[in-house]
Amino acid sequence: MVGQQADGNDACAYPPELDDVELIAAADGEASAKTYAHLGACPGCAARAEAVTELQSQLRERLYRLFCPTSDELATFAQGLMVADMRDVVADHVISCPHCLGELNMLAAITATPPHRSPALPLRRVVAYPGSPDVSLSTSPALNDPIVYHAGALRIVLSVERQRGAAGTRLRGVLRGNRPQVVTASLLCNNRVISSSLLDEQGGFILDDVPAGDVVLSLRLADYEVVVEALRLL
Amino acid sequence: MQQTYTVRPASRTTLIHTVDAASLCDLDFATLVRRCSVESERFYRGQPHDPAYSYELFRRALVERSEQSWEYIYSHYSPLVESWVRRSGAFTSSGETSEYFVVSAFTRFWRAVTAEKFAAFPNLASLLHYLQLCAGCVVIDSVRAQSWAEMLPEEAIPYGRAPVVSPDEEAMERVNREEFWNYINTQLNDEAERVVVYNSFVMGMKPGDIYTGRPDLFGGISDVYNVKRNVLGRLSRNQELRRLLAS
Repeated sequence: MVGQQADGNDACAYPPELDDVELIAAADGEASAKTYAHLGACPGCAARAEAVTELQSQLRERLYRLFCPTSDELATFAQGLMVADMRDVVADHVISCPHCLGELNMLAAITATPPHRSPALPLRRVVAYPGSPDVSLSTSPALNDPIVYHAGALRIVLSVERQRGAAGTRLRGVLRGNRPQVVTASLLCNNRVISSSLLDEQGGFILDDVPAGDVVLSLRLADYEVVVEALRLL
Repeated sequence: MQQTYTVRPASRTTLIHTVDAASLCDLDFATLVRRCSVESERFYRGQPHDPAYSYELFRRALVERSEQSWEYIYSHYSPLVESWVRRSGAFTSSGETSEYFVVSAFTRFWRAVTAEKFAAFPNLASLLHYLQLCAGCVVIDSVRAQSWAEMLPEEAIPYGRAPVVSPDEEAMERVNREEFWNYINTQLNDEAERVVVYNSFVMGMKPGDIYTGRPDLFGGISDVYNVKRNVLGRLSRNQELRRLLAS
């Protein structure tokens, strides 16, 4: 018998005992409710079922997905870069293996679009306005007072300072409020990016080499941007 | 006060060439990073951009093994890698954090693209495509690990899920498992037995599914069960197999 215990200590407490097919069905999760009820009450049959489960587990441990290509091989196959002989072997395998077919589909979903692409839709713009009427920031360290801009629940605190050891100007900012994880701060002049930086974990950013004159500050989020327009840096 | 409107990006993203390779090599790290950020942002806004700066950072990270270049690449491209992982659909059911997938993808990429292999990637697009494939492989491995966990008891150490195994060890393990299969195969009497054992233990299928897949071979599910009972009975009495399973 499949589920025979070595010590023979598997007498059924509620005869007739479960047969081997019922034990296998129980191990495979396809048995009837009556079989599971019997196993719940009968230590002897439960022990035999456990032996069947153990044998099946040992076989699966050594054989499960033995002939499946590795994920690297699947990726090479998906790219069409596999040598002909190997490609035919993998192709034959994939046709009959739902696991690998599913994984190839998953890989296709990840690589369906070019790895690096610009947003398909134009960015929605949200304009931030200063909390005070003075929108001019001075490069003079003596006039280094930060200015706060508002855009809905977001606040942007900006200040200007001289770059240490360089002739240029530095714009320092912090984005406050319930901000998303990834935000890029950029300065634009005539709609062209001239300086850019990712916000740090505290929402802070520094943009160096800022030119004098009118620029636009843009904080780009996933599908929209918050802008400070007509930012005049002296 | 809040005002919204849209600005259309340039109709077509344009690649431009603004610097030669020799000048790139001479750029200090801070300047390179600044230029990379600007060009990348131009790309995202559909403006003409030069990917050479990002490519140079990858070169320094992978060929010169520059730690600061690698750190920048990691932080700069992590959101992109995360977006690929989320696209797979496997992320939400994985139980893993997105950071786990991102770190694993970059680690895989780092190990695969050695200084010697870097020349096979002539531009930024080819590097990012390979990074994308690495992210895909990480997702697949995660799905496989989950599948193993469902198939096997917790105490078993499943193949492919051992923490860190060298390629040699992995190959040896595969050879051992193939030899085990060859032995099992010698114990099977006919095609029906092979189909039941292969589908039960190699493919992880249940008798009902095995019957559905091969109604030409079996008269009903009970036939599959009977074949499985006969094989398991024979294998459980096989002393050599017991020895192999114990080893």
